[in-house]
Amino acid sequence: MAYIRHRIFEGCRPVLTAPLRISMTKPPEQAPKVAATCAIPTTLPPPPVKKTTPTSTSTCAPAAPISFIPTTHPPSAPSNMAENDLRDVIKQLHQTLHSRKYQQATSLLSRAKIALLHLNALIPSETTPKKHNLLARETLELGALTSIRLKDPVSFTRYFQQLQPFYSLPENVLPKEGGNSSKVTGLYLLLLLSDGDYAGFHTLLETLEVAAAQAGSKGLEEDVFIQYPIRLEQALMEGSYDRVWGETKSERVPSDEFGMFSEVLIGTIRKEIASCSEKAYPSIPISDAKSLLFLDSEGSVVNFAKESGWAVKDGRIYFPQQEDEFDTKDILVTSDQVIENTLGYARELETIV
Amino acid sequence: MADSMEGVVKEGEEHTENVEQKTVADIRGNFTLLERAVAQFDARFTLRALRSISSLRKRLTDRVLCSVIVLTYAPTNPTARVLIEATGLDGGAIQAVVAQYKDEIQSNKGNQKDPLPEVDVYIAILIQVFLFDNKEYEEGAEFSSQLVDKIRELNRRTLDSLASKAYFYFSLFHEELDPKPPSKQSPVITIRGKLLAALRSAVLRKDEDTQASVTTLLLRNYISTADITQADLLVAQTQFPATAPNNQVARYLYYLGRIRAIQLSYTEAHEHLTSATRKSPTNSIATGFYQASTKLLIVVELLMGDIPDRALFSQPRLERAMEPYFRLVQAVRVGDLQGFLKIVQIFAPTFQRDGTYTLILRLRQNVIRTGIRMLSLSYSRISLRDICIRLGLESEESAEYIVAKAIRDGVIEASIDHEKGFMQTKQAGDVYATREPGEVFHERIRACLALHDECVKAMRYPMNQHRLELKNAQEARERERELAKEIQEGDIDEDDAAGDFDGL
Repeated sequence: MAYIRHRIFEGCRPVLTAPLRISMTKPPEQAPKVAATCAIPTTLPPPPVKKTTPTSTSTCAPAAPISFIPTTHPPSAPSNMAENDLRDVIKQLHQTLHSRKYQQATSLLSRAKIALLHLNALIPSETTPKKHNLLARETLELGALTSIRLKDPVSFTRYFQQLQPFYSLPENVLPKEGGNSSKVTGLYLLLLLSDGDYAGFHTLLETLEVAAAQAGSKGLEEDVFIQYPIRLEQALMEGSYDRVWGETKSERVPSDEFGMFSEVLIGTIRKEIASCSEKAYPSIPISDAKSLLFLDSEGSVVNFAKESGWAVKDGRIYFPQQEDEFDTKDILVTSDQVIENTLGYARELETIV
Repeated sequence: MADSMEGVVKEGEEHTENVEQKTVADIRGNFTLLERAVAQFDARFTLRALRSISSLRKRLTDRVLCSVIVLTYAPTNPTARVLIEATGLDGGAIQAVVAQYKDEIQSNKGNQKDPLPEVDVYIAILIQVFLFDNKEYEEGAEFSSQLVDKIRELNRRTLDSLASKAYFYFSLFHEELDPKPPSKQSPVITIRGKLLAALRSAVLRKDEDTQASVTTLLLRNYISTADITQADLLVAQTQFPATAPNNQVARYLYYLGRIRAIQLSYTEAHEHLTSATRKSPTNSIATGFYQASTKLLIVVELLMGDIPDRALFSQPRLERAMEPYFRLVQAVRVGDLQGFLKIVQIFAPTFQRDGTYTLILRLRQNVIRTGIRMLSLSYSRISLRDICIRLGLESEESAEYIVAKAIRDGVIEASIDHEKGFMQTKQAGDVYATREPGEVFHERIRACLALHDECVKAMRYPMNQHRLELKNAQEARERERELAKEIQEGDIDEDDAAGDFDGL
């Protein structure tokens, strides 16, 4: 039976594709009406082939009841339906994001992505029409922003990777205007920074720098979303932690989403400051430590000191004394090392002479 | 007057004719080298033929190429047709060339056999060179694509070094096509598939020449569009052949150094770049490569907190190109933050062109650290406010954090008094009481030994020479035996031999 099914299907494939070519260029006018009646916003759109097989293929349709979704050229009617559905979902997504119902957004997003798959627009190809690319980019960007709100770095990274092919499209295929490419990229940079992945950060930055130099006029210097993580990285690397602290304050953050990282960043700099202080100060008053570590009360300073294993006495914090480094570097301790090296030289010389 | 003018023109024509004839003869002379390479299975002859391209290059014309093809192939040969078409000569000109060499073609006719594929590819490479020098990039790209496809089908080990050259030009042509990299629509991206396929075949066929050159081409390709992650993955997934030619090794190391520098592994980057600059050819042809790798090396050294040698900048072939970098090093050396920022601003276009701009921007923290180090060496105690003013920092708080970080990272030996707001430098101990000098000494000895090992490995011996030596040894032994026999038999008296000596 399966064999027969196959044969029949093979036979009707050319019939299937022939009207498609036409419909791709000239969408039938009644299609939106069909879509409007079919699109039920609460349920997933039905598999398109069964319901909407064009009349010309009806001869073979009953014989091939397989849920086959043609991946290269989706039929026009479902594509229109999916498109309208998608527009609808995106509108709802904007609303849910606005009212901050992020959990709800995830289910909407999966619907949007299924619609994109029906349109075959999840990955841009040469034949994908511009409006589909625009819709796909918008969906994925919304997805990325939602993942940030939900504090889901894994899913954000996935969205960011999916967006890459769209961002590398030329200006005439997909204009940069209307997209959030710099915002999403800036957020990704910040994510790398908060993970401490400096290599990844600089690798991405290099790519951006080259792209910006090529685009010419508007460099990276004017892009607030990209400049923010760059400034933070610079401050972190040179150690001016007060600048990092200043940047994380809500009024300095370029957009709400960037504020999501502030907590992580403050945690990071606090740890850094603590490890620096251990080495730099013999002791310090608790009140000074409070401002130094950006903590709000002396009680939390004492707690923090306990966590770090510092001694608190008479309103001062005493850091554990580091042993003198010279002891560990004493030449006598390493005599076996010296002997080993010398023997090594002797052996090498033997092979040479 | 007019006569003499005509004479001059005629002479000139004759001269060009002679040059043409000579070039044709030179090229055809290389065919014997290629044939010998195939017969003896020795790549050195192929390399010699390839090396002569640089001297032939200036004399190549479409007429020369056409003549060579006409003389080499039978008139009906399909390869010849493709090759002649690629030179872009029109029908009339071809006829003229054929007429010129009529006699020779006639005499060849009897004993003509099909030329070797090596000869085909060699002529094709000459055509590639010719098209590239005449800036016919479109035609060159198309022709090269056909050529590399054909080479892949052939699968002959004697073709390897020729193939690597063909791939080199193949990639070069695509780089010159619009839109040029780093645009994401550049044609270099479309040839990646072909290069990767070539790499796979080369590895499977143990074709190390092509493997080495295609690997470097791919790295160059990825880096040109700033796809550093992909380049890094390629390096991680492939093995660079150990027997690759020196030039390819130098290129590979340069790209590797670049990738590592971007990924902040400065120590590794430094190692690769040092080898790359050392391995780069010393003649003037590769000055560009030498300059590029030295520039990158200097920036990486600065990022590591080292100051490059002054002598590096006074080399005649670096002096002019290195000027911006020299000024940069000066600023970093004295820890002058304002001066550093100014230099970066002035030379930003240069640095961007060299691809070192992002790396140089990272230097800011190094400048600050050097500044702090200088201050801690000069003062035993200095207030944070003074540090802030001296280094041009934004606030005293910043200064305090920065100094604390410098202390933790071991840049300086000091402590901070927070209440009184000053930095107190600790008394520096005697370095020679530690094992540090010993470690440095060990490092240097190891480098020398590694150099020796590499030299030994790099030595080349003629093939089958050891057999000759064995034969010599056997002969010597025989002679000795004969001599011993003679002595035994008393033909040569031992006293006789030493007799004269006594007499003296």
